Amino acid sequence: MDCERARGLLLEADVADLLGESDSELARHLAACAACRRAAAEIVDAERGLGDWLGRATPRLDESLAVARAAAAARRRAAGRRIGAVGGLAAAAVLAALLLLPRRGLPPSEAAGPPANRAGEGFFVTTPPGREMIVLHTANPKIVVVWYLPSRRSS
Amino acid sequence: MSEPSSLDEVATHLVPRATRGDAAALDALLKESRPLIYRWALVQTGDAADAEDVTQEVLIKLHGSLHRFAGRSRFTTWLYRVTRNEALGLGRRLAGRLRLARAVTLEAAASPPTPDDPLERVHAARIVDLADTLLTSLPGRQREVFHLADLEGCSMAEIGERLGMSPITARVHLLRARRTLRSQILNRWPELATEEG
Repeated sequence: MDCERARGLLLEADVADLLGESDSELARHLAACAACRRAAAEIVDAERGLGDWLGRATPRLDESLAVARAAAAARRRAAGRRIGAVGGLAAAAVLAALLLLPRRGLPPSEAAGPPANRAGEGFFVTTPPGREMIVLHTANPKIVVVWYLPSRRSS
Repeated sequence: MSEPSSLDEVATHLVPRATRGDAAALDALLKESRPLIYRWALVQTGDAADAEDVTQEVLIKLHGSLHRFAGRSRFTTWLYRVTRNEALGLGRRLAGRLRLARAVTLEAAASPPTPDDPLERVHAARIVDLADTLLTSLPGRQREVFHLADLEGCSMAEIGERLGMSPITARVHLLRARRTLRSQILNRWPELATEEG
């Protein structure tokens, strides 16, 4: 192998070939040619320097860990608030349904189900079997809280 | 330098504790992972400031999503994927906006030593030039493959798995990257490129 071909191979060779640690044609040439060996050593040295350079690469901001912790906590809190908001909306929807359904012409029927209770002005709430009901009137006359409890008589 | 293999070793102990809610273990894992995440992000994005953003996001994800690491692959393989996805996501977000021209501040990425010896200074400057070529001139795939293969010692099969390409394709990227970088190395010393033995 002549030096010109060796220089071409140096550009793509594995490090083991550059260091003469393999039995390749290039490695054999390097063992015999000081000039090509110097070029190979230069490549190895520069690439090691590049590896060291990257090894020293660190973020400028040392507080990134603290920021990560704070951001993760903030996201968890936001997720919790979302769940709370969704839960609140669901509860409000159930309550609204309870309040509005009777007004849409679903009068309680003694024959069809359990006894109905007069919960407030203009609507009725049906107590499920095995449950007792507490009706809480709020300061706002449009809001009535209906609370079902396990019946003491059935337990 | 925190090597992937040593991080894998540390992760073997820390990940199970961290996923069980041990805050100290999670903190230690984040601390150990951070330099490697940043280095990967730097190679993936080619920009020190972007790499910092990616590192930050990956640390936040690690904080909240470590339970998603099922342990089927090595921790560093999984972490590399998380980092890569974040870097690609950042690239897409930036591509959609008018991006301010930002000089690559290599000094910000890795503070270069300032040796007293003039020859050492020349060597250090040459390495920074080479790093500049690696980060700004090579296409992303070539950058990643060269870094994983020649600087981290990963096999072609592993690189193929991480980057979603065949080992043969990975090898092609590696040879192209080597050709670009080594041409630059030899061109700095024309006598090395032409000298005959």
